Amino acid sequence: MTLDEFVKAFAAEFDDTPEETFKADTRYKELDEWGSLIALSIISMVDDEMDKRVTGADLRNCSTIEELFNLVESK
Amino acid sequence: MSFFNLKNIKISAVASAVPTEKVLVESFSDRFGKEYIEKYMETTGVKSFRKTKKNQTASDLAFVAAEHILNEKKIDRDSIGALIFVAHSTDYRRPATACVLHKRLGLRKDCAAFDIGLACSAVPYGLFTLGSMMESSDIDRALLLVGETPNKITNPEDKSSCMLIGEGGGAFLIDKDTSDTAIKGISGICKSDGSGYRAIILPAGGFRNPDAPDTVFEWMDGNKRSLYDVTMQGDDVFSFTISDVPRTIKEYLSIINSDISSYDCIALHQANRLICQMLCKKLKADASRMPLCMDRYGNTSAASIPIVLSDTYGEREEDEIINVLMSGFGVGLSWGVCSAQINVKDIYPVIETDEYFKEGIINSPEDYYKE
Repeated sequence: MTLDEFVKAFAAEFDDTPEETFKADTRYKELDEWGSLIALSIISMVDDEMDKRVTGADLRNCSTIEELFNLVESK
Repeated sequence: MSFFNLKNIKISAVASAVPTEKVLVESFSDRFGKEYIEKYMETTGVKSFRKTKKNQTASDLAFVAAEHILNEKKIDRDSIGALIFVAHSTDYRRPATACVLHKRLGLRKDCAAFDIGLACSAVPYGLFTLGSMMESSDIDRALLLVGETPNKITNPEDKSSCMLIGEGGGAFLIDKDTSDTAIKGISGICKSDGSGYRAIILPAGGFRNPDAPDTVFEWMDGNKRSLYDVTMQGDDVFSFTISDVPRTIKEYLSIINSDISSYDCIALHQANRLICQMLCKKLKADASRMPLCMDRYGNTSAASIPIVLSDTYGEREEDEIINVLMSGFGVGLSWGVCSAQINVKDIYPVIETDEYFKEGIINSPEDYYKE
């Protein structure tokens, strides 16, 4: 999966935030819609699409979508 | 490897009990906002759950379930050689709740009774422990009791847990059968990952943190809890569940050379709907064989496997032997999977009860000496 595809897949987990809001450098935890339920969707998206395991700490420690992508890729 | 195979052990009856008070998740709309509640119900699948009375405990629920089995099956109480109560929701700090249940059920002294401190993984661990004890002793019949009352330890302002968890209890009658019958044999795998001990934790009230204040803090996830309330790192529990649990189930199926499609019922711990659906997908299981009941009972932790069995098969009165795969996972982190054959006729409907052990309430020296 490329970074662009990851950003798209990440955006698809959100219902209310417009897709164009999402860029590689988007600080996802600052989005209004971000919360524990979205976090679960992201974990399951990464599991589904990339077969990698994201932990709660990973989501807390990363700021931007790109950072998260790089972390997942490095696993 | 922690694979077990109990060739001569079988489940002879299953019962479960819940308190009568029903709490609707919708009723939290004022506290957390209507939109949030709708999303929450959509994701978790929980629409309502049961809540115990103030003095009613997990053991009261397990007791009612056990009494039902003993009475319905006309079991000679002197034939029970062991009783294990698996729960974190104990009656007291000591003695073991199993000892209180031993007295209440009127069992004889030739009976090993003790507690196991686990919750969501109660059923595979309980069956593994009790069945192994029976296989290596002269005990032919035993009771496995489970129960949890998580509402009592959840802060009402904690929206990660306060609408998810329900209360309930369950009982299994376990028999040793050395004859050549079709319905026997329980095997499974139990696993642990202690590195996740903080994922679901109630930090105070034990012996580690004697100075814990009762202050209500605001935690990083935005929820309010004291150290005497349970704290759950939901995302960590979720990522553990969707990776380790299906891996263990697949490992088990490969050891016993079986396939997910050979089970009539996949009774999963009712963690939440999203988790159960993810597991269903990862196991390539037929969703129609994976009953869910968290919509009405919530996540009842240790009790969720007996409750989902009771909810699905309780009304069935004909003889039909089903192949059941059971998996419990959560606090510990601790998880397991096991399978057994059960006659649906031996699975009783969910019992509603507000009964509690009045004699057990000790709020003063007078209460203590009253007995």
